[in-house]
Amino acid sequence: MTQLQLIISLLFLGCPAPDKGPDTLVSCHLQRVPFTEFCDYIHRESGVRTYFLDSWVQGIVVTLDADSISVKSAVEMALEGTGFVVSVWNDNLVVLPGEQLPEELPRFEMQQEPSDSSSSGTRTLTRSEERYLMGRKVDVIQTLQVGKKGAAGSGSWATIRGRITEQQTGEAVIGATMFLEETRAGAATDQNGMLSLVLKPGRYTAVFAFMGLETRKYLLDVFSNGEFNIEMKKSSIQMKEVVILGDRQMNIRFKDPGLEKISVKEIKEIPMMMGERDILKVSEMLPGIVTVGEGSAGLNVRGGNFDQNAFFINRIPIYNTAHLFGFFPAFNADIVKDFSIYKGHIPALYGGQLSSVFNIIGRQGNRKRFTAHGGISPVAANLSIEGPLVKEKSSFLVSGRYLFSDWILRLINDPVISTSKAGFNDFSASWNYDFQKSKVSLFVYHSQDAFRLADINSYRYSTNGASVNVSHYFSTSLRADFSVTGTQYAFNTTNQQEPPLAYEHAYRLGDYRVNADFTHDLMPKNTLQYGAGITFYHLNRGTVLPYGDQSLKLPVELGQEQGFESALYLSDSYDILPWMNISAGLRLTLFNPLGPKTVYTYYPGAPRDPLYINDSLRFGSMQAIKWYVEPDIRVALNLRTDANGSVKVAFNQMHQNLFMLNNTIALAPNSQWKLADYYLPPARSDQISAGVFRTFPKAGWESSVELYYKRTVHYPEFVDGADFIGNPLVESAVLPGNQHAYGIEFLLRRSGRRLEGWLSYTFSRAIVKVDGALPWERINNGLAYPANYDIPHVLNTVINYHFSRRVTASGVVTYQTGRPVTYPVSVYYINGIPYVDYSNRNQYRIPDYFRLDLSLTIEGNLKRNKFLHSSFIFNLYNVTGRENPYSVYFTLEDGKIKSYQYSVIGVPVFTITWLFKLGNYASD
Amino acid sequence: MHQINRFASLFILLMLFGCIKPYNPHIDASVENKYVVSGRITDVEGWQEVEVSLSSPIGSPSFLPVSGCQVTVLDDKGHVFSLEEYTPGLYRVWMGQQYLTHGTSYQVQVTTPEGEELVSGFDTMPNGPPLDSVYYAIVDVPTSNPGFFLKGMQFYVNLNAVGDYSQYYKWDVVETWEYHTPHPLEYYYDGAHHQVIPPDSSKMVCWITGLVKNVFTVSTKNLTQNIYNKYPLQVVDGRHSSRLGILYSILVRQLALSEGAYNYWEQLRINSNEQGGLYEKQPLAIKGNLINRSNPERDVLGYFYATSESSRRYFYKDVKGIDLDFTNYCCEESLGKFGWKEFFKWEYPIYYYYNELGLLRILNGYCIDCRLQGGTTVKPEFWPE
Repeated sequence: MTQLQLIISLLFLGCPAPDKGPDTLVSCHLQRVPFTEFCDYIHRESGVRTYFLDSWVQGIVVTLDADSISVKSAVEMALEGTGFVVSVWNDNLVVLPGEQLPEELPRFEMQQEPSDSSSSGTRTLTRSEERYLMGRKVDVIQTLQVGKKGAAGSGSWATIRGRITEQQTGEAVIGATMFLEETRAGAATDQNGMLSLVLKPGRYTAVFAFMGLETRKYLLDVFSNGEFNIEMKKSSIQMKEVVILGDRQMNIRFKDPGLEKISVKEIKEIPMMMGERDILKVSEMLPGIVTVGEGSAGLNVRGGNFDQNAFFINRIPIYNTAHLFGFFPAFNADIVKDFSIYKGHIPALYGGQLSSVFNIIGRQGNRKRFTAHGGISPVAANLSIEGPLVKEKSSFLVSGRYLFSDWILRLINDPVISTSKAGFNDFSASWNYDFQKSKVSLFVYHSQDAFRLADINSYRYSTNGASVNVSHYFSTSLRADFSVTGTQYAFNTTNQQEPPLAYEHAYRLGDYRVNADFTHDLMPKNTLQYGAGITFYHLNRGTVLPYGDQSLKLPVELGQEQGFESALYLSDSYDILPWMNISAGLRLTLFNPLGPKTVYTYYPGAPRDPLYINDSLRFGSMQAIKWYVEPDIRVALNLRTDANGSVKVAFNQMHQNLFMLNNTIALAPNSQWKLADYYLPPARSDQISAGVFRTFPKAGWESSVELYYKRTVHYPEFVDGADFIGNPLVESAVLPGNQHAYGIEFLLRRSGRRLEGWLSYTFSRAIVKVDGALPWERINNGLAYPANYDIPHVLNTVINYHFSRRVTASGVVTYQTGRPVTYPVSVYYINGIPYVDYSNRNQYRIPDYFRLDLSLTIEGNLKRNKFLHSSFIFNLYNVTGRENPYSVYFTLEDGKIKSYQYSVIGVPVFTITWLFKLGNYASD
Repeated sequence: MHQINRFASLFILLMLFGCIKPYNPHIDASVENKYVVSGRITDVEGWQEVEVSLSSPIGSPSFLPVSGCQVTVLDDKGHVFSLEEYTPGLYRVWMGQQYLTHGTSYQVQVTTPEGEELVSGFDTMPNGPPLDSVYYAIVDVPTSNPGFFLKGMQFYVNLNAVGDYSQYYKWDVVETWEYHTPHPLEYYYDGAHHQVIPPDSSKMVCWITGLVKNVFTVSTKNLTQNIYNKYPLQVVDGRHSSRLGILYSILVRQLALSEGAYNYWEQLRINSNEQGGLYEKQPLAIKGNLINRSNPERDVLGYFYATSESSRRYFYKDVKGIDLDFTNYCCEESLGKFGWKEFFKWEYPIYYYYNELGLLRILNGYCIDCRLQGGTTVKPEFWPE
């Protein structure tokens, strides 16, 4: 008994003496108690009072089940998710909506020395402190201390890691730059908003910059390895100040050759058809990226076909980026945080497609408060909701879009159109959590399209994907990203135009990936990146089935395919000299088409036609049909010529294992993807590019000239009249083609001014040649011909003029050479009926394309305290009403040949879009 | 490709804002003329014809026959038939039934006056079933005025080839119709006035015969049975032509083809139907089965094939549900203020008549002479009384 007492008293002694005030431990076991009652209970148990306004907490019900919890935590838990914040005041608690009570007035000196950031305490200014300081703002340069004093020996190096977040939302800023004025060294943040730099301990002046955010300058006191946090504020429109924007810095110092970045601001300001903001349409305005016409979803990058682009949103690959014939993008612009297009030097991290990588990083969601954005245009609506789950640590973002155009279809006086339906929807949800050294994020994406043309045709397609990404910072110099993704793309077509031939076809593609990527700051000026990834493809090309009672169609099984892609890569970025950086990488991919599969073999020397099959090879389940080893070498050299200029040279090799079966001009919604197989080898491309970049900071201009030459081999070209629905043996319709593409791209851009925008001009060619040894292995008699998307001259101008903060006018001018076509050149008669004979493939061109669009954006008032901020976008698409021909075609009418041009949009189109968000003008 | 084009136009924008208009591209006129050889051997005893011509530039299309060729047809049993030219560019030979058997392969060899040797591949004569049935339905025909439709006759053909028959077919439709002019020739003026007694009505009734210019091909290769019901043939309405005015006749000729010949005609059909819509394929350069042995790099257009034929004739009169609203191109007017002096000599003769009120009315040629619309006054043999 005494023993027991002793133990109890020892235990008591071993515990910290119960604190007075908010750290007092209490036990709460409460079920659905009103908040006021909860506070009374707390007061009874601990003597701590909680101050609040009755009207705030009405309706808040507390359910809490905890032993030994501090009073402050208990109240915080009770208020979780309500947006109220608990502060300590004289050992009591104060509840305030959305902000912390300053515990003490921040110290404020002209040269604040040392400030609050260090490796241990990584606290930044609260909003109240900030506001307090801003009230008496002078040109203050704050000092950030990084590391511990005396921790590093003299002569050693320190690795510092910084995290940059946006002040208003708490979200990480991607691609923000830090620039040290003394050493002229710099770094840019990764997708978690982290940057790291190796430097000698000492004092530096650091400039932090990013497009659309206010540039900030700090004194950086570096003692040893350490971390720091920076919050950056959204800038209002810069009227007179000269600001060195991150983007311009990027261009000269960090930009990879052939990397394009598009800011969210640019997406928002460009006039858009139907008032829908479209990141892909914005990218078409950049040099080297073209589309063959309105209503075409495909993009052609530097002379590559539209299946040569890899699209990722939060690492989920997207196989169809269009809604409704490409008039709408498959991504909601509101959830885009960072949009990068790699078309020259593609980092070794990426493999897959030959021409480009479109990498979209979605926003994380506001980490400080709940908010919503939305928009309504004549045919579509979108809404996104976001907010913190655990303040400053975790947030979510949910967004959805819906198209409701049926009401317009019903107005059209055509029985076929008015009984048709068209619709799409997409949805995405993301969640993230910051642990001490790790960041975890989850992303789910769904997109669906359906259109039905009366009882004649119907098309449905959908994408469903999910990704889990974990970033872990092992040390200040080693970061790892692990990701697991799964995507399914599926479509379903019915065609009952001719009842006896009516059919139904369903297709499904699954893409499952696991990746591990490491970034290692080895030495100052030397960063190593390495990683590995595996991808498993499962394609069910489906069965073409008879549809309806009258159909006599025979089922055709197109078969299933599987493939396994495993890749290893290593790349190193090294500043050899202060003005010279080289980054060199090797990516080694092994691709195995896998069984089960029956491969037919053909008589030697005979065409690959079912008529000439002589044997078959049988491959068992998961048995490798072929071993394709694909080494890619990626090298880029950056030379800084002076403070405002640089020269970049790159050599880039890519391989592609997945192709699209499509021989139409535009990207059709029922195009099948197909893996490289026994007959179809992976395609390879080698690109050499060189660029000169120059900024003119005073005038706000940046400019670039880039040259490239690209050679592609084994790229599949389809024989005349190839049919992918009736014929399961793709090898009979495909021939390996060689492509040559070259071009020169000019870009002149101005940003951060009242008048901003860009002008780009591209001259480029894309030539294809299919010249096999045997006559049937040739297209166009083995002669070279221009690719369908060979568009030599492209001129794009985007101009934004900010009349005030509330009114912005924008204009877009697009000109491009008409795409190549095959024209009839002569007429011959059989039984008195004329027929036409065609020119060589793509020997002619349709007329040139020209379009002018205008838009006017009017923002709601600038009052600070408001619930909802609205803006209206007035859009006029194709102002001149020019009938840009999409195609020229010839028909036989009463025995005469007549030629017509078909324009997709031949009149001006006017739309008004209403956008809203919770909060005021500046809130995000 | 119609359905795809309409599918593209499904999206409101395309319907509201898309548009199609005539366009004349600039096309190089100096394209080399290519030889065109076409012909077929049918399983019906009679004249077998081969046509030799040159292609013409797209800007000035015309039939350029090649006369003076040596044309021979060979079969795989060693028979050789020499063809004789009976109109410029058209060569023919009478072949007896004993040479026209299913399973026999035929080839044509042409030596042009320039000495170039054009040779086709061997095409094997397939077996075809009798023509099953041809019928029509009254359908709405779209007009150039959107939302406004005309009633028309849509003809269909059924194929029933169950048995040991080819899977590839082509239909040729030869149409013939009778039409009339409203007036006989009675009065005319050519500086002096003439009256024909009795009035000459020999040019009041004409017949036009022609091949329907669409290509109709079908394959049952991917179908469960060698049957195809309701294959759509041509559409005829009562407004665009005088076809349905008096009596309309069609001769439907069903041709069983080999796979090669079908592929050729199918490609011609696809090319002729290109509509330029969003998801159109590029037109194809169509290769026939002839080569130029003297200059292998020079393409030869056309196809030489063997076929089984089955045909039947149909007549249609007073079709219910069709509104006749066609023009006969006849115009009448009164004599002008200055009388007969208004007419120039080159306009002579000026036809006229006296209407039921006894007024003199001037007539144009179409009112008197049906041949001006392209027909002939010679009645076809098969035409009923």
